[in-house]
Amino acid sequence: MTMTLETATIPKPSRLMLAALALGLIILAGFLAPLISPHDPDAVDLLNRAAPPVGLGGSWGHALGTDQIGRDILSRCLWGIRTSFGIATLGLVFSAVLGVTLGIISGLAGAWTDRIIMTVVDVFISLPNLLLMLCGIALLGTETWVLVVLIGFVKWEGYARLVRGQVLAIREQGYIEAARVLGARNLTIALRHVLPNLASPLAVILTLSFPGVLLMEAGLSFLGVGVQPPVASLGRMIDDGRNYLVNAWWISGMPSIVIVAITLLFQIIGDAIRDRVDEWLDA
Amino acid sequence: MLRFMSWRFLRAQVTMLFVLVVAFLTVRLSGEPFDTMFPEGLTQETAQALRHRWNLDLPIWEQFTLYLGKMLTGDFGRSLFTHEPVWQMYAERMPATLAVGSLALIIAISLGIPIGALSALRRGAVTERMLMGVAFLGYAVPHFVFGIGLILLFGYYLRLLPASGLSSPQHYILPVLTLAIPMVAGIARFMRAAMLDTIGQPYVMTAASKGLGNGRIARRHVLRNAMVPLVTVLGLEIAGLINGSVFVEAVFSLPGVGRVLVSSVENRDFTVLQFGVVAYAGLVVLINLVIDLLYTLIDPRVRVGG
Amino acid sequence: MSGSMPETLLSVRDLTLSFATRMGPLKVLRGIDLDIAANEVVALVGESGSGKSALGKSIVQLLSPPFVDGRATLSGSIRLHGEELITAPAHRLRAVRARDIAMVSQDALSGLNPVMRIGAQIAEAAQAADPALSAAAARRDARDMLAAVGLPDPDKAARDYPHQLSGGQRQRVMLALAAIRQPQVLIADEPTTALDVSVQARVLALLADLQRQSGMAMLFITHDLGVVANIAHRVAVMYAGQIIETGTVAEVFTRPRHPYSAGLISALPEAPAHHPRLAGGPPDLHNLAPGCAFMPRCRHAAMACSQPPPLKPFPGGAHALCWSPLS
Ligand SMILES: Nc1ncnc2c1ncn2[C@@H]1O[C@H](COP(=O)(O)OP(=O)(O)O)[C@@H](O)[C@H]1O
Ligand SMILES: [Mg+2]
Repeated sequence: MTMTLETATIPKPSRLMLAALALGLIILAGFLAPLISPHDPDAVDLLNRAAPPVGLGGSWGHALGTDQIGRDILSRCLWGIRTSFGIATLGLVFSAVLGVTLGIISGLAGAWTDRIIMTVVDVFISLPNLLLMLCGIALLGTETWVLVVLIGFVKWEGYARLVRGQVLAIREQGYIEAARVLGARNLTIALRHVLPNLASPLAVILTLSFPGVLLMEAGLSFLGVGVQPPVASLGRMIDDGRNYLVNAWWISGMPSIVIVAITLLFQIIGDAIRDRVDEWLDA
Repeated sequence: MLRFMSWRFLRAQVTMLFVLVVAFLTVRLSGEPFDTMFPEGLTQETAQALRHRWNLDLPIWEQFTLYLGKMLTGDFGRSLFTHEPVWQMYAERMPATLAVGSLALIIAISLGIPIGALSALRRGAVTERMLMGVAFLGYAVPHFVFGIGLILLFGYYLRLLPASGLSSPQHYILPVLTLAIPMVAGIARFMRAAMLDTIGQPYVMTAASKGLGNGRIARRHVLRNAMVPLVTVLGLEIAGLINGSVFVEAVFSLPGVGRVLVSSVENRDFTVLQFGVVAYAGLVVLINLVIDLLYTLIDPRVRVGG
Repeated sequence: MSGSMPETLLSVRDLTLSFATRMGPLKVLRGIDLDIAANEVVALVGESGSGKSALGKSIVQLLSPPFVDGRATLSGSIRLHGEELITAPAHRLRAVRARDIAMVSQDALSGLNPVMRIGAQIAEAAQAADPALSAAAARRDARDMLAAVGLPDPDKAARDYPHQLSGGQRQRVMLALAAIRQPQVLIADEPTTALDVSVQARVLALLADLQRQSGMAMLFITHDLGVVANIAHRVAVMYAGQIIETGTVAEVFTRPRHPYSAGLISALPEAPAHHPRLAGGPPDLHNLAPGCAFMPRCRHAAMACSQPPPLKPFPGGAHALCWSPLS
């Protein structure tokens, strides 16, 4: 008897489309921040400090209100989205490149190289990312490129394992031996036969790891060791507003809502993708 | 089982060695330690003598073995900044971190498992929908946002609970909840999935065909088997807890070790950071070992198979 | 149907079962009549998907796992000693499963709880059947039962976990699990399909032994006609949710009345060569025509076959559901 146990909450296709659309709009807004943000995100207006958002007595001039030194929160959120996505995208691309390279090396090189790389993977998995990031930041400083590099360094293992598995599988099938007889070099073979097959799983891992990386950047910035002023960052904005929660919750609240909205949307999309992958694996 | 455990033990040691190397190199790569330790303008001879005194004239790997030896004998050095003994800085802050963390863990386990189990056994109830909604939020809302939300709601809006420090038992409530609720959601969600998976297994049908009551089937045949995968997830949850505690200490201004760690990064106080990293990593490795041990206790296939 | 038989123990009448599926209701059992007498072994044969397991599970009403709201609708009558089970309350059904009707399923390899000791699993069955039994007595009985099903070291086996036993040993444990309850009826659903061919015969012999010793009735489900003659008194042949022929083993094997039975028998290696062979596959249960379900594959199909076929009796107690049975 085959059981069809209903799984948790199956996102309907329409829900996936809506989430993807909303997320696309948010990303686009961040990308276009220099063009569409109503104010200079760093313009201080001490006469108009902690102005409330529209609906709580504020004006459309500062739709989401202003912060403790009168900067426009909407503009800062847009720039913050831009920063977050910029760092996360570059970081993830770097991690993918690193992971794929090490995965190919691990799959093609001898047993010892393979063992060493896989041990490092094991070690990386068992350590909290935050610790590694903090070490790296202490060492390299808080410039933005440091965050990109560090994200790459803590996130590569998933790609490495996937690619290594695939390379080994293809080796088993004897493709590589056959191609070698024909005079191809290992690397060419790996690139030819492995990467095209892996394009979609790599894209899936990338999408699934996006929210985690966004939160990593936001968290470090919140702790004060991530993105530094004057670069706008959602995490930093939340930290800035913490002393004004009583009278002006929106300084922390607005960027919080933006972060939660983004990760929730990613979550919905990720769940839908996972369901698809499961179905696909079942079939 | 012995083979399994000794393999795990070896891996834990490799991990710790890796961490120690990273911690050591972090300090070394941060610049010539001599310059951070001593004032400028010393004579050539004094400098040489001091180098010799602090073993800075030895080859790097010998320095590493010396450092290892110190770490193992409990000599963790002093802060480059305040010159306090590093060990003392952490020891003072340890109780707060441990108290909040372990309370959160106890709550998460003792609520998460039954909630997840019940929602799997009574399908389709409102509670099930609610649980999945909460679990969904638990993944998307980071600790620092969740904590601020709780402060706003209970601290400022309802004025029920204090929002910073740890000076009374009430002070523990919000930080512990901030850490515990996402974990409850995560554990419950996983437990539910594990239970549903187990319920579909043939041996549950066998149990039913013995004419056992549902209560007994749930307890003896479903729960125990669902706990097996849960144990591994607990390890991840605890690692997440350690991560989260750094943020919760920042949000609620708690006197915990996470703050020491973060300020050591800001101040580039490398000896303090070094110990923090080694200690945190050691804790994570230790937890993983305990989990592995638990795994061998709960799953006979590992126990005997090795 | 059981005119010459001794007292009827289990009697199934007009049993229908349908599952709610995405493509509408799936009629898996369509009016099953079946009687089993005390001490009698009835073999239920038919191609995979014909509804054999569904019938077995229906009798103990275990169509979906506990805690899962099944999408099954069962109607008709199942009587044990005259007591109606279809409408019986849950606690009564549990008692019947614990004491009267045991079932051994085809998942021999995954049918035992992996984190519970073998002895405890058997003792649990003993105590479910007899709540007055002490834990110590149940453990002792379990150990004796393990010896009775031929495990070489029953004391060790009782302490073992399932993964420490071989497939054949695990299926012996499953039989012990059933036999320790001294049930009146055993439903054995393809008890050897998951096993290596080399151990199949020995497990079957054990099953036959257990049946003879205890005198329990048995519904022996198989798609392998080859083993039927050794173990069963009567055969019921299933096709697309119906029993299309019943009769004694000798009767059905030497003179199959239904063209489908004839086809099945001709597929046996020792079958006479002149029997026609079966072609094609089982029908789609979602789109059954009102007439004979076998018609599309039948060499003797006639006009009448597009109407529901009648159940025709034959000398010797055999019955066939067919417009033009073979003679
Ligand atoms: N839980 C279920 N839901 C839907 N269809 C089912 C279910 N269980 C069995 N079936 C269907 O019932 C039919 C008979 O299955 P089964 O009794 O297992 O056949 P057999 O044991 O003769 O091989 C098959 O078509 C099968 O797909
Ligand atoms: Mg079957």
